[in-house]
Amino acid sequence: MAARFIMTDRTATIIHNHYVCNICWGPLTLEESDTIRDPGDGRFLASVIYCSNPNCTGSGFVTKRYTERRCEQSGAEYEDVYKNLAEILGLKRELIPIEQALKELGF
Amino acid sequence: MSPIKGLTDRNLAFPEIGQVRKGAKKTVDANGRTTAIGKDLQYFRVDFDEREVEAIKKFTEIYHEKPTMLNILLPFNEIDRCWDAYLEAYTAGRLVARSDGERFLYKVNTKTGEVEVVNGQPDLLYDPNVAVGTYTSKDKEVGIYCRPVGRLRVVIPELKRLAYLTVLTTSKHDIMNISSQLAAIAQMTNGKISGIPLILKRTPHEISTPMPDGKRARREKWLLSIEASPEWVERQITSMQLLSYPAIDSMPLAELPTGAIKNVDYAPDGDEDDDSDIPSNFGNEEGEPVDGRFVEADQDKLPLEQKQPDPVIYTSKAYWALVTAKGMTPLDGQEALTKAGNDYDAAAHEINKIKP
Repeated sequence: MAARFIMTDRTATIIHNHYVCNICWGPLTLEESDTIRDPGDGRFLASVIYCSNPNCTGSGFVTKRYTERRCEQSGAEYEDVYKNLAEILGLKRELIPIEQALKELGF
Repeated sequence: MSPIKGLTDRNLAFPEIGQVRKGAKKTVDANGRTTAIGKDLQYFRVDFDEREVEAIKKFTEIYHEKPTMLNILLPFNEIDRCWDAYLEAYTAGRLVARSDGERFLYKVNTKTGEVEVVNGQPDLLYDPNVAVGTYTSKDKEVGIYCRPVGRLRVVIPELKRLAYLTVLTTSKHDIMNISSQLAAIAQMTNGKISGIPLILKRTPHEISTPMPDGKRARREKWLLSIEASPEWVERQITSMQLLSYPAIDSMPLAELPTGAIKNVDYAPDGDEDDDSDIPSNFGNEEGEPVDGRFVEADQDKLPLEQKQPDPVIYTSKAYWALVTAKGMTPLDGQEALTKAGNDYDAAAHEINKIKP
């Protein structure tokens, strides 16, 4: 189970919007925490933030920008590696019929 | 085999599915603090992501629990995309400094957490004798120093997957060996290192190591080594030997077929002494200049035996003449020409085949 972090609302909102889980790179869940309340009106001032994946052992966060950049890089690397090694490894791309491809694209 | 969690959940197209290490797993206490580093092994310790069940099964079937050699393929032709080596310092699992040996590429102030250098900017020289940061241990400040870290990305061909494992080493001898071996392979293959069947091995070497008292002693260490597979080397040597031999001159040159000379007046069976058809009078004769003008020979009026034979290559004029001669209509001629892709010669030969 992923670690749960308690922090102020403002920080939690920033983390939730701009960060993802450091292990699985999945989205985060934000919940209100009743550990800290405003002494005046009693509203919640703290939030708990943790990885949305129940099976993940996430222990921190990484920025979405970093993960997006790594995913793009990995996609480009895949194309290069496919060109270099697919024949040697005996791999073939799955070809789908044109009609199915058009359907998947929404036409 | 100790699993790594979550590596393959990241939906990367070319994912890392495991790591290849040289030492045993470190021991940690209940708080997660390291109590002892793992001792150096004589084989590879391969850690796969725990979700890679198929890969673990296939790998264990082929290499068993304690492999000393691995068949590998490099994923890219550029060495720096497959292999990198830096001086790095970590504390509490966080990278605090990275250097190329001359300058810092990344540096964090361990007291304030502020990032001081990113992507080599601002320019800050690296000094191996100066600590890059400190941490507190038993009320004492302990200096953090960089140490060499090498990472090699490899594909295991037996897994039949476009996914890589990272081979990790912190030995400067390994880093020097691997760098020079990869450079040598690239030199032999004109820079094409991807796809070459390589073997990653651990081999024993006597190397000088520091003792606790500051002196040095030679100890046996099982270092990394990359070499090309023997079958590939044998073929490469054979191919290089063949290339080194001069070209063989005794091979006969390919001779082109002789072709008839086109549209030139000549006697086909040239008998120079046969002058029976040569006109005897001068002037106003075909082919003879008259008042500065040439009179062109009208081939149709020449005797049959002197008539220029059918040209091997049909031009437009010759083709239409053939169509007329074969009794075909212009429409039929055009149809045959279109079928032959507007090639007069091909169309003419087709007509000759159909109507010999």
